[in-house]
Amino acid sequence: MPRRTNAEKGGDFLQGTLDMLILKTVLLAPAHGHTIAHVIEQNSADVLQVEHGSLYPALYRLEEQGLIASFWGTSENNRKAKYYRITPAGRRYLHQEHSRWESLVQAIRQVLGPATEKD
Amino acid sequence: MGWRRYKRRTELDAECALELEAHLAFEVEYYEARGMTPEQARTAAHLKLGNATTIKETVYRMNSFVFLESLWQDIRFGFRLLRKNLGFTAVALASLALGIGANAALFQLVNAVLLRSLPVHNAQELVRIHWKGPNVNRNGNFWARPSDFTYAQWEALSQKREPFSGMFAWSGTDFNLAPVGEVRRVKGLYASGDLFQVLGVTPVAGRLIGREDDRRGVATAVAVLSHSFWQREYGGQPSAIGRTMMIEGHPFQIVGIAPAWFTGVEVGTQFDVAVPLASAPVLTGENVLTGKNVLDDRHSWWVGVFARMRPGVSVQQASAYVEANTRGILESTLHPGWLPDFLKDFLKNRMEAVPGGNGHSDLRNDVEKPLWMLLAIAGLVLLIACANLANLMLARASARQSEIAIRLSLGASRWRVVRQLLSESMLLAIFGCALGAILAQFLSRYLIVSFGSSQDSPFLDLSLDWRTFGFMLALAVLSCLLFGLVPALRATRNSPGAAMKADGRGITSTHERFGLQRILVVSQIALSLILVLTSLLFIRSFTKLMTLDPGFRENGVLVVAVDITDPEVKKKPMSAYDQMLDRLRHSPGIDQAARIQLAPLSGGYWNDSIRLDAADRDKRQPVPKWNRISDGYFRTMGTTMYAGRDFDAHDTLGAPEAAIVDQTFADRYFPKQSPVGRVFYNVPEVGGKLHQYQIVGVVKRLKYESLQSDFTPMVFLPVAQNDQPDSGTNFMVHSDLPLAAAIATTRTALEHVNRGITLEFHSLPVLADDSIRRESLMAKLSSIFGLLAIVLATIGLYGVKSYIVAQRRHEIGLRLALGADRPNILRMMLTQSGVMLVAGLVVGTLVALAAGRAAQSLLFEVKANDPATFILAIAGLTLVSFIASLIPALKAAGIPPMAALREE
Repeated sequence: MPRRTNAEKGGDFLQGTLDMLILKTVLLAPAHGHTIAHVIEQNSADVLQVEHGSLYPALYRLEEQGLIASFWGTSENNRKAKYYRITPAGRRYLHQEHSRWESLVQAIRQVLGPATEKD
Repeated sequence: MGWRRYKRRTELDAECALELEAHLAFEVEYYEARGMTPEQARTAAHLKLGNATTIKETVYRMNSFVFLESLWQDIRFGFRLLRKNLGFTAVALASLALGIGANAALFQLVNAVLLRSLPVHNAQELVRIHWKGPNVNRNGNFWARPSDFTYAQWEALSQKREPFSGMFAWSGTDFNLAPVGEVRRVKGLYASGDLFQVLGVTPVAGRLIGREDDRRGVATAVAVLSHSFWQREYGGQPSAIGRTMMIEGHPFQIVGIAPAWFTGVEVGTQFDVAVPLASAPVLTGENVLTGKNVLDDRHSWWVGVFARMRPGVSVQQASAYVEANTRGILESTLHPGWLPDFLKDFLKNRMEAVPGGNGHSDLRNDVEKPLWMLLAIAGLVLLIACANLANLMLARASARQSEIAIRLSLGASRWRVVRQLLSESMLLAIFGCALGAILAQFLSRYLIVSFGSSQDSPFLDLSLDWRTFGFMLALAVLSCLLFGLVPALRATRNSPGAAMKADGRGITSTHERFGLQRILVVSQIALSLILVLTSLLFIRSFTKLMTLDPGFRENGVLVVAVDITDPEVKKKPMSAYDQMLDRLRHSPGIDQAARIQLAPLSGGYWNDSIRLDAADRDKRQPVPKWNRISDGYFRTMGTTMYAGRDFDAHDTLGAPEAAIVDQTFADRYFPKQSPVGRVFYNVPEVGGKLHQYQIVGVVKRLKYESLQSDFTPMVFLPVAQNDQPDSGTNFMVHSDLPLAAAIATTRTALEHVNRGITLEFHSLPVLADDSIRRESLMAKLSSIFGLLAIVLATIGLYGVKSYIVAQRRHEIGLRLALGADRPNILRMMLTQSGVMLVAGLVVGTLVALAAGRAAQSLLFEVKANDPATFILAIAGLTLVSFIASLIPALKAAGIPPMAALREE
C-alpha cells in the first residue's frame, strides 16, 4: 500500500492538468524533465510553477500509461539526459483532454460571468 | 504496474537517480546563467527540486509491490530479532507449541468423533432413523451396538421408502472367531442387502453382500472382510476369497474385500468382518426364554437404520414422513406379550430422521462432554500462554521504545511500525503452530488410547482435513493477534518525542504505563484459578473413585467368561458348570471360586421392579438391580455378610425361591427391621407368573455394572434356581497366584470338564481401572493443564514484577535516599502484587462458579462448587503468587540508593 504524498493528493483535476501540460510540452519535440518544467513556466509567463517533486512521478506515471516514451540522449551542452517524447496514444489523449478542458472552462465562464467587480 | 517493471525496479531506481542528478545539473547551469554564484545556484536548485530521496521513493513505489516487499523485509527483520533472542524465542515457541498442540489434538478428536462425515459419496444425503426425544418407552433385550429397532420394525420401515432412494439396516457386535478355547474377538458388522450399494462401496476383490444374500430364512453364510482385517489376517492375499472362516463356531465363506476407506458406519469402531443381517440367527442362536431367533423376536432391539434421501428431499421432509408412518409401523410389529398399560405408552413413541452423514457412534455420547471440556481447558491454557507472551512482547517493545520513536520521527507510519512488530509475533505464531501440529499428532493418538479400554481403543480417522487445518490457522492468527497486536499498538501509541524523552533521565514510570501488564497478570491469575480448580475437582473426583469401597475385593480376582459350544451339553449346561466349579475349587492355588450370571464392572446389568406384596402394583423406586450367583460368591469377592446365610445345597429348583439382598435394599424396603425371612415378589416375564422370593441373607452394599453408578438396591438369586439356564456364564476365581499362572490353572480345570468351551479372561483390577479410565484421563490431563497454568502464571507475575522493579529502579533509589526504609518499599511492592492477585482471584472465582455446572456431570460425588476445593485452589495460587512476587520485591528493597541514582 503506497503512502499517498501530498502531491498525489492534489486531486484528479490538478493532476490531470499537469499531465496535459507535460503532454503539450513534448508534443512538438522530445524534451528532458528540466526543459519540460521550464517550458511550462515560461509559456505561462511564470504563472504556473511546476513542483519539481511531482514532475518526475508524473512523468513516470505517463510513461507507464503509455502516453509518453523515454530514451536517453545527449543535451545541447553534452550532458546525458532522459528525454521524453509523445506516443500516438498520448496525442489522442491530449486531444481528448484538451477539448474536455475547453468545455469545462467554457462552462465555468458561463457560470461566473464577466469578471467585473460589483459593489 | 507489471512484473516486468518490478523485476527491473533496482535498475529503474538507478535510472531515476541519474535523471534527477541531470536535472540538478541543468538547474545549476540555469541559475548560473542568470548570474548566481555556483554556491547559490546549487542551493537554489536543491530548494526547487525538494527532497530528491522522496521523489525517488515515490517513483520506486510505483515500480514495486510495496506491500509484499516490506512484508518480506519485516519477516527477515523478525527472523533476525528472534535469532538474536534465542532464550525468548525458545520460551515463546515452547509455550505456543504446547498451547496450540493441546488445542489441535483435542480438536482433531472432536472433529473425528463429532464432526467428520463418513467417507462415502454424498454423505449429506444420508439420514439416520431413530427414536425422537430422550425417553423412549420400550422394553426388551438390547444386545447390539445400535439398539434402535427390532428386525420386524426394520422390515416394516423398509417398506416406507418414498422420500428415500435407498435404505439399509445394520448392527454391530463382537464376533468370536475361535471355535473352542480362548475367545478371539473381532468387530462384526451385520449388513442388510442394500448397505454397500446405498453407501456406494465397491469391492477391491470379490463381491460384497447384496440383496440375494440377505433374505430371511435363506440368508447365505457369506462374509466380507474389511481391508485392514484382510491385510492383518490373510496378508492381503487374493486367495483369501473363497476360503471358509469360523464365526461363533459356524462356517462362513469369504466372498469379498471392502476397500480400505470403508470402515463401517460407526465412528470409533472399525469393522473386521461383515455378514448378512438376516444371517444373525445362525450366530446368535435362539432365545432360551422364547425359543425365537433375533429376527422373529419382537422385543430384541438390535438394528440401526440409515437411508439416503432422494435429490431435493430435505431432512425435515424425510423426518416428517418417518414420523407420520411411525404408528402404522409400531402397530404392525407389536410383541404379543405386551400388556395394554405398556402398549399405551409404547405407541406414543415417534421416529425421526436426523442427518446421518457422520454415522452412528456410541462413543460420541461417552466422550462428547469430556472432549468439549478438555478443549475448553486447553483453550484457557492457550489464553494464559498468550497473555504471558503478550507481557514478554510488551517488555521487549518498551525496551525498543527509543528505536520505535526514531522510526516514527523519521516518518515511518504507525501502521508500518505496528506491522513490523507484528511480523515477529506472526513468525512465532506460525512456527509455534507448526510445532504444535506435530505435537498434536502424538497427543491425539495418546488420547484415543486413553479413551478406550485396556484391550480395545477406538478407531478414529485423524487425517488432516480442512476443518483441522482451518482450526489451526485460526489458532495461529488469533494467538498472534492476542499476544502481538496489543503490545504493538501500545508501543507505537506515544508520540515520538515523549517516547524519546522517556528513555532519558528523570522520568518515573506512571501507573498507566503498566496498566495493560497488570490487566494481563490479573487475567492470567483468574484463568489459572479456573484451571487449578478444574484440576482439583477432577482429581478429587478420581480419588473418590479410587478409594471408594465397591463392597468387594478386586486384587487377585479373575473373571472368566465361559460359553459352551457343544450343542448337546448346551441344552443342559448346569451340571457341566457345577462340575467346573467343583474342579476349580479343588485346583491348587485357587482358594475361592464362584459363578455369577453378569460379572461385576462389565457394564451390563439387569434391573426389574419388585412388589412388596402380591397385589402391589406400584412402581417402587429405585428399581432394584438383579443378578444370579452360586454359593461362595461373597466369600470369593470378600464381601461381608451382615445377616442370614449364603445360598446352599437346599436352594434348588422346586424349593422356595431364596434371595440375598444388599444393605441398600434392606435400608430402602425394610428400614429399621431385619429383612431376613421377609418376602417380596416379582413378575419376571411380561404377563408371566408371579414369583415369590424369601430373603435369606443380607450383604454389604456393593457396586454392580460400574464404579461410577450409584449404589442401588441389589437382589441376588441362586443360579441353581434358574429354570431357564443361559448358555454362557462367568466364573469368579480368587487366587494368590500370579495372573498368568492363575489363568493357566483355571483354564486347565475348566477344560478338564469339557473341551468344547470358549473362554475369556479378565482380571478384576484391570476391569476396575478400565471403568474409571475416563475419570483418570480427566484428572491426569486437567492436572497437567492446571500445573502448566500455574507455571505460566507464576512466570508471568514474576516477569512483570521484575520488569516493574527494573523500570522503577531510579524512583525506588530516590525514595530510599529520601528516607523510605526497606520494609516500606517491600510493603509497597507486595501490596501491588496483592491487589493484582485479589482481583484475579475474585474474577476467577466468579467465572468458575458460573461455569461449574458444565463440569458437574463429569464429576463423581464432588460438587462443582465444593468450598473446600475452592479454598485449596485459592490458597495454593496465593502462596505461589506470593513467592513469585516476593523475589522481585526483595530485590527492589535491596536496591542501593546511591548506585541507582548515579546510573542512567
